[in-house]
Amino acid sequence: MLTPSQERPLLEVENLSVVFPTPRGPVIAVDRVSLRLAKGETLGLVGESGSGKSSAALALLRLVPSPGSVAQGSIRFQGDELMDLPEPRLREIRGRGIGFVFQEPGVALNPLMRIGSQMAEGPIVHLGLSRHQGWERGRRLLGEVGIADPEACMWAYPFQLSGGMRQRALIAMALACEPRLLIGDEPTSALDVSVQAQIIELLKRIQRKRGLSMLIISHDWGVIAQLADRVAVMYAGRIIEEGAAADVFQSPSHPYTQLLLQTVPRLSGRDRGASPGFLPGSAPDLANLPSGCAFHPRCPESDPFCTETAPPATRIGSGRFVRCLKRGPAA
Amino acid sequence: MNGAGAPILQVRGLTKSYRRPRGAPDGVAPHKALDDLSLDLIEGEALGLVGESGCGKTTLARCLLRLEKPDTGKIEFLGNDWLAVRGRELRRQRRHMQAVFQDPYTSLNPRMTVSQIVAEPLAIHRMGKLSERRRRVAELLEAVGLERESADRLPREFSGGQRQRIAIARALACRPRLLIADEPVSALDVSIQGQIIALLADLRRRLGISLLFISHGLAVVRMLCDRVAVMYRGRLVELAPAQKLFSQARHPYTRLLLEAAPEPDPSRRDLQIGLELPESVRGRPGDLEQCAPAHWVAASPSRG
Repeated sequence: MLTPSQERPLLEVENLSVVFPTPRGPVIAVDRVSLRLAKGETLGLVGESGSGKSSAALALLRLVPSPGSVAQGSIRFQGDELMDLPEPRLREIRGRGIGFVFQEPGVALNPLMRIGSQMAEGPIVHLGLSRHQGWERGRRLLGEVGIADPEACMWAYPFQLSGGMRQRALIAMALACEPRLLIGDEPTSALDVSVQAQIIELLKRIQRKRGLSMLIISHDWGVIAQLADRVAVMYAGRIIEEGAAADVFQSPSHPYTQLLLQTVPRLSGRDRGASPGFLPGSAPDLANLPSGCAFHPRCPESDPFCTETAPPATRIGSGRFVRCLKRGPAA
Repeated sequence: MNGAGAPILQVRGLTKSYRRPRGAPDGVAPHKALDDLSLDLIEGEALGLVGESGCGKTTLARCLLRLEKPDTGKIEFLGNDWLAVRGRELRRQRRHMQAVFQDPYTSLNPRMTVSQIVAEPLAIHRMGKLSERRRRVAELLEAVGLERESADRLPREFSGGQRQRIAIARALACRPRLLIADEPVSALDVSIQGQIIALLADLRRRLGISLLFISHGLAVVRMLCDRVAVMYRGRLVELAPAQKLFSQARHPYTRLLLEAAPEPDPSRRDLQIGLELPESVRGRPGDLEQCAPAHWVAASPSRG
């Protein structure tokens, strides 16, 4: 395992907000999110659908789909302030600095282009390689992500590959320009468990080999546990808890995290029949958020104070924060 | 085949193949989605059926529901030769076997109100007078944890978890003996998954209904099922009481599924796991053989 270095983080996000105008008023999909990612570190961003995790990831690349927009905040990547960069420079960063792996390998690939042409495109555009060099690099990367016959795969169209192969090809593509940061938005959610396990192993191996930083976005606590050094939990657009993965999984602090981790189905421990935790209600309507703490209507510990006051981030340990009025600061 | 209790459903030698895709080269064989599969479901039990995509689990569900015609094989349901039942009689019998599907966004008619949706099976089977049906709908909505006021609203006003509750209410409307749930929680968020599993467990306890629960996730099955059947390439490779399957899996494919599932526990992340199925078991699984009481496992692949 790489220890995060003490130097300046690779990625620093401060107070990032993403707003979507809707007929029912503005929806704040991402609400003053701050994140830090050191070199070689993996941050897991976990949350349920509608929690804002995917919008946050898109915002990092300045790719929030219109009519949504980044309302405020700062995104510093390798010292550059992405909020101030012109589009051509952004495109360069998206191509070379940050690799992105999307959830649906079926949708993220161009169905009418051979894998090889898609593999070579990035290096040709961003690194100035020749067609031949781009193709060579593509083939090497396909081998690196564990595709048995890279040459055949280069000539294939996406529909000729299995889901697992397509996801491997997408990862290879994301790595083609040697990015420093890999963002994976549900990178394994569409795959069968055995293939998912292979992709998780692959991501770990690539990270070790290349010293890459990773931001893994998932609703699956299992995937996060396998990959992340640090975990940030999102609820209704805000990060409500953050800490080292081992701490968050072993002693979750926020009532939402606690209940959710009790609810997650497991293969070992806690037998059937033993009453599992139970999280009542459903995710809040972002256009009509509850007052105070957005979790209070579902929270077993809430009191009248929680309905009035938005909880600030409280430090509860080294690198650990929680947004809950019921949790005191570290002693 | 499996001891205790009378089977409500017996499947024998079920086979279903789909012809090769149009334009595929002549060498491509038809895809055998079900390959001489046999299975019993005991009255009142919850049987989990797990396997990865393409293993044939949904095809099996569709054959059981008579939405798909198997090539060969026999299904006995409630003592009847189920595949021989046709026409009006099939319609009548269908009320004993109901289904909940994976996607609550496509399995409910968007133009019908919740009460119309839930009452539809009652209308089809001409069960009760209008006033009785109305009462039954209210009762069902309450049983699945929906408010009475939901009755006059449209599916689009509900979240995924609530829609799945509506689908469950509809499936229960005419008091079926067997409920087939095909990935009923896979499309839902974790917190909602827990709610739906708890609801199914509760309904089963209260109504004594038999359940065939199909899922690709072993952990979800563990929370709900008495017995678990593992499917691979259209065949069963292991069948055992849930507790046994999770503690003493015998078949390499079952072990692979168990090891590959990412556990929400970072302390286990550096465990080396075997991710490949041994060559010796990659072929067509053999027939089930009993290896311990109530525990069945497929023999090594038959040669040729």
